[in-house]
Amino acid sequence: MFDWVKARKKKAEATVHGRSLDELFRIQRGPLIRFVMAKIKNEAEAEEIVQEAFIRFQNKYDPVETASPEALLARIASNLLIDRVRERDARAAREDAWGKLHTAGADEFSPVASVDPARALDAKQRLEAVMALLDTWPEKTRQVFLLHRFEGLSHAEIVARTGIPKSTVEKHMIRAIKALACLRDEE
Amino acid sequence: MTEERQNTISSAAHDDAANWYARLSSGEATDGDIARHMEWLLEDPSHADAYEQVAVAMRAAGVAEDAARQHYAGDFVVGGKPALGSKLFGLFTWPQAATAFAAAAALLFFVIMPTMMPGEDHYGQQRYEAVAQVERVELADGSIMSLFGGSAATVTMSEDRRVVELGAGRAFFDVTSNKERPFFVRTGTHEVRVVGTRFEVVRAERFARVAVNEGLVSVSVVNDKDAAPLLINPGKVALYEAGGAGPAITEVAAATIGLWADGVLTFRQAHLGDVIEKIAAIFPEHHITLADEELTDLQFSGTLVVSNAARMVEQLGALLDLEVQVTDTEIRISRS
Repeated sequence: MFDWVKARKKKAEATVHGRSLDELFRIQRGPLIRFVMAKIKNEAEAEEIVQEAFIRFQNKYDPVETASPEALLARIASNLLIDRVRERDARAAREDAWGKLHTAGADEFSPVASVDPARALDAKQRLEAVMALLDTWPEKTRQVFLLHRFEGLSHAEIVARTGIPKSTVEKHMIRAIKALACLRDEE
Repeated sequence: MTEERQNTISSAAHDDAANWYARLSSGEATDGDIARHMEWLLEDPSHADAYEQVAVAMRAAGVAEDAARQHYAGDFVVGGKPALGSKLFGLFTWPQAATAFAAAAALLFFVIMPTMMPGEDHYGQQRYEAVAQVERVELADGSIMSLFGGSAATVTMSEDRRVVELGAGRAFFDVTSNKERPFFVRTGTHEVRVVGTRFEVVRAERFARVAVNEGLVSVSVVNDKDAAPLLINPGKVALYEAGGAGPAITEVAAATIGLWADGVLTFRQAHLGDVIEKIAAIFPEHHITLADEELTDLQFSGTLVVSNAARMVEQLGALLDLEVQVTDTEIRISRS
């Protein structure tokens, strides 16, 4: 008798925005193909580049370490495209907006953000900075943020819990996100 | 290079990134949102940088979780101070919600509120019973309790503690952290103490079982005050058998503990092997086998209601047109 439980190696299923990676790729394939086609103008080659981007992404992506899987995928795809364009025409690539930013070894992506404002602060400083920031926020902004970030509530769940209208929940969240993203600048 | 890239991020890109982050994390992001977001990321290299910066900042804010929970505990309490919509009802969103939930669940779920009195804030006692299927309820402190079909529990909330008496059956808890108000689950023979974590407790005729998905709990024996409490880590399962000496400890993948708590298992283009693996994780006492290995790769998309192992596998078999044989020793799936 085949006992599949023992035969299979367990692997945690990664999800992004409640979707599996397969679903995410299915949704993002269209925009990526269009992006590559704008430069490559060869459908088969574009398909190949996007496919390669997905494969590289899966190798690099770490659900714990990667802050933004989408940004990682966008960079991998962009750099693959630039590599391909460079192969064709080095001069053209240098004038390319993405090309200007592409550096040697860029394929060796760390799963962690390359632009990482959080790194400027150590954990203790960040904790103090976040707490100080929370203190300056209006009560509702703070509550919406805390329920979302630490209780994992969706906007609809926050509406149900607090009675704050949905459009207002969104505004509070955007305000909180912007303030947190600027933390380093205030230091 | 980092500096150079930093300078290229405009404030408009920052604002857009914050808007995108809010949209995508709202719990309501559509496929269209995700596709448009990718288009925006690809529009300009600075967009990916701006978005990543926002995502990193949001993740890094996690360091403040414990401090924020303590400092702003009221923000986390259902019907707590900041959520006051009206003086009269603001504090009572919990019983209202619980009653509404009970009404919606009609015959399947009963809520009795013997001691809930106006003016007692959100403290009081409440009894929950899940009759035919998994029932999920948010407790007054924001903790979530999922009761397996056929289970009953009484929840008592007081100023210094939160106590759940598991009358019978199986329950999974997602407890909000509050060091000032420890959370206890009692099975009659055992007491599980927790600060903030996700774990499962089973009370059966002949045994009690505690399994931890996240955090740390301690289990003590009610009639043996001298015995040191047992600390249980994520992925550990402690099984106390009636008449047995000490607990038998086994280890499983932590993520599989409490897998049933939503009441349904949903699959999309999953391999049959994975589907069976999830059912088996919920019912470790059952042995589920496939007649031939090729069946593991069969694809399944659909939702299975969490009931019992045999019924769930039969439901799966009916959807995939497979034969299911249930014997005393195993549940066997084969081609029709």
